Amino acid sequence: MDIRKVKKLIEMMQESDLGEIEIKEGDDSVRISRASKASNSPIVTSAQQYVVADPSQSAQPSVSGRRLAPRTAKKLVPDSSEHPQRSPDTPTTRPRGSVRSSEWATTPEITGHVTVTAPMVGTFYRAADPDAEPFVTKGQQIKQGDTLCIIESMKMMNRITSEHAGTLDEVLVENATGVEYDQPLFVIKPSS
Amino acid sequence: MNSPEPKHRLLIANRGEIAVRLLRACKQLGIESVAAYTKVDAEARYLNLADQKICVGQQDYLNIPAMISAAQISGCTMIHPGYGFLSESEAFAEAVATSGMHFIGPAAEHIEMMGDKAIARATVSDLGLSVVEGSKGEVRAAEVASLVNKLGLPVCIKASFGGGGRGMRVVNDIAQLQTAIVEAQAEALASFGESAFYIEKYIPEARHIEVQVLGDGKGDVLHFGTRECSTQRRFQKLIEEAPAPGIDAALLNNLAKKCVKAMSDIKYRNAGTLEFLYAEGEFHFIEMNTRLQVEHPVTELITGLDIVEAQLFVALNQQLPYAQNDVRFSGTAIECRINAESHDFLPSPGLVSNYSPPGGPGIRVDSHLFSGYRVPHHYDSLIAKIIALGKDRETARRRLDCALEETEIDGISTNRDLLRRILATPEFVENRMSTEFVTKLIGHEPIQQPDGDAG
Repeated sequence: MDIRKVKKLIEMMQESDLGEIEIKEGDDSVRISRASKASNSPIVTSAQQYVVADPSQSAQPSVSGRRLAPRTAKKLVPDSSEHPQRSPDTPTTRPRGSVRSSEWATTPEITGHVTVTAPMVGTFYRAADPDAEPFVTKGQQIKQGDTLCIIESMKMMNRITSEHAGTLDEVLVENATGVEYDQPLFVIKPSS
Repeated sequence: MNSPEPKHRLLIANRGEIAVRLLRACKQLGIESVAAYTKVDAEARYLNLADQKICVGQQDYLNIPAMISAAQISGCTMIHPGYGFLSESEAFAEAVATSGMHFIGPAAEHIEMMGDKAIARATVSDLGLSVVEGSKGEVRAAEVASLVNKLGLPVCIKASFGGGGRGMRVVNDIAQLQTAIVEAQAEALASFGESAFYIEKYIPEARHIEVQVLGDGKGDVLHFGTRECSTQRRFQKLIEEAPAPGIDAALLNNLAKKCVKAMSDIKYRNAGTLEFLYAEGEFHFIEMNTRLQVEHPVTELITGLDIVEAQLFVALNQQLPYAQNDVRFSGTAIECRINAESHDFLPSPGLVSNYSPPGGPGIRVDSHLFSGYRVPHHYDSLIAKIIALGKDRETARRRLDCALEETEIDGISTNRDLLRRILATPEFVENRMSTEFVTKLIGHEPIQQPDGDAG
């Protein structure tokens, strides 16, 4: 669906009292719903999609659409900074080291929430091995440099660490599933 | 032939028009497709043709771990590298095989053998094909003077790992020799990470003729005839056709047979193209491309065969899809490469405000364009291939010219008008092309400044 159409829908919703709207166009469908004022978490209506909502902007609609491209979905978040341009081969030059998530695509939002996105395509693991506890869980306090997850790419275990200190607000991806480049993984509420 | 089994899933490790070509093949053969794409290409409409799409990076299609991971997390059984990018990386071919998937291309050892152009020359020479006179393998700085003395000017300096016209310099004057070597090395180092080079006698006014082959990896090889690609600018092909016109059929057939023999001897697998310069009745090998080529559609149109399908068949069945006798030729096909470039050959990326492709009898268009598409500046400037088939060469030429006239690409500059001018030259019409005629055409008659209609 045309991103301009989605933007227009959001604007229309903001001007109205509608709580939720779903539009179907051929194979594409998009549902936009308004988070309740009490809720502090984003509305995720489809687990397969990268739903990036701004949790504390309660009046801000969150969007999920079956075939929305990740990039399209992200654009819906009023992000204040573009992702820095990076050398395209950075992931391969650092096969085993830790990758600082901030170098890739943390997206500071108006409220200070940050979304940590995958710096590489691979398999997402929340723990060091299947029997271990997850590195981080929802609601947990996180220090800068803490390991958030591992992304496996060609049998290389790439440790993804946090650039931010704060509270882990959301884990957006299931353990042991594939993630693509720049896919949102976590939402962190910075402590400061 | 039977279609490859539908349970297979193919990762397309490429972009643009060739990604469209491969996606179409998947759809037509009932193979599931996964399109690898970058953030830069996220708006590309062809991604919607794929069963799944996976973002592999910001702008990079050369990241081997990313491509392998993308294939693995999406359950792919095969990877097609297209052309360019990872298509001639033996490391990639190796990684795909090690990961338990089919690499749609040759064995890593053959990619490596032909990837080093100096070794390729020595290899095919041993296999009985004549090569352009020149150095045996790589040249050391100390040998240059005596070698050039022996060959006589002009010579061509070529990077061992060059390609696509990069890392090549023609030297007409001995005073330019050192500069040419330094430039060719620098270009090759920047583009391919290697500065090794070799020297060939430069054959002026030659024609570029190539032979398309397909092998099963066990010694069974067939050919799809010849193509003529002399219409080049700075070693970049602009117009290609099949079959090669104006050369005795027996001579061409003999060349094709020699290629088949050579490829059979090394047990070459999958599609490949051996390139030759033709001058004074002789063919001289220059290099081999171990991949699907940009100009493969001209061969498909005159044979009625699908080379991508044949590639997939070979990969899945370890045997050829048909016998040499089943490859029959009819008519002539000519292809034009539409590049997003200005009238002075500078890249012209940007928003395509309107795109309207041509049609009609015998016209094929391979392109990823659509109205509203933004041509990114990060990649090759090839945006469309327009191919015409005719019962004879003149019919194909007229159809192609008509198709180019119909083609509307607004908002960016393209080389369409240059292509039409080339098609109308006496050299092209009368089959007197050489690898230099476009350069001369441009030199003699400067291109008019764009008048605002970028078309």
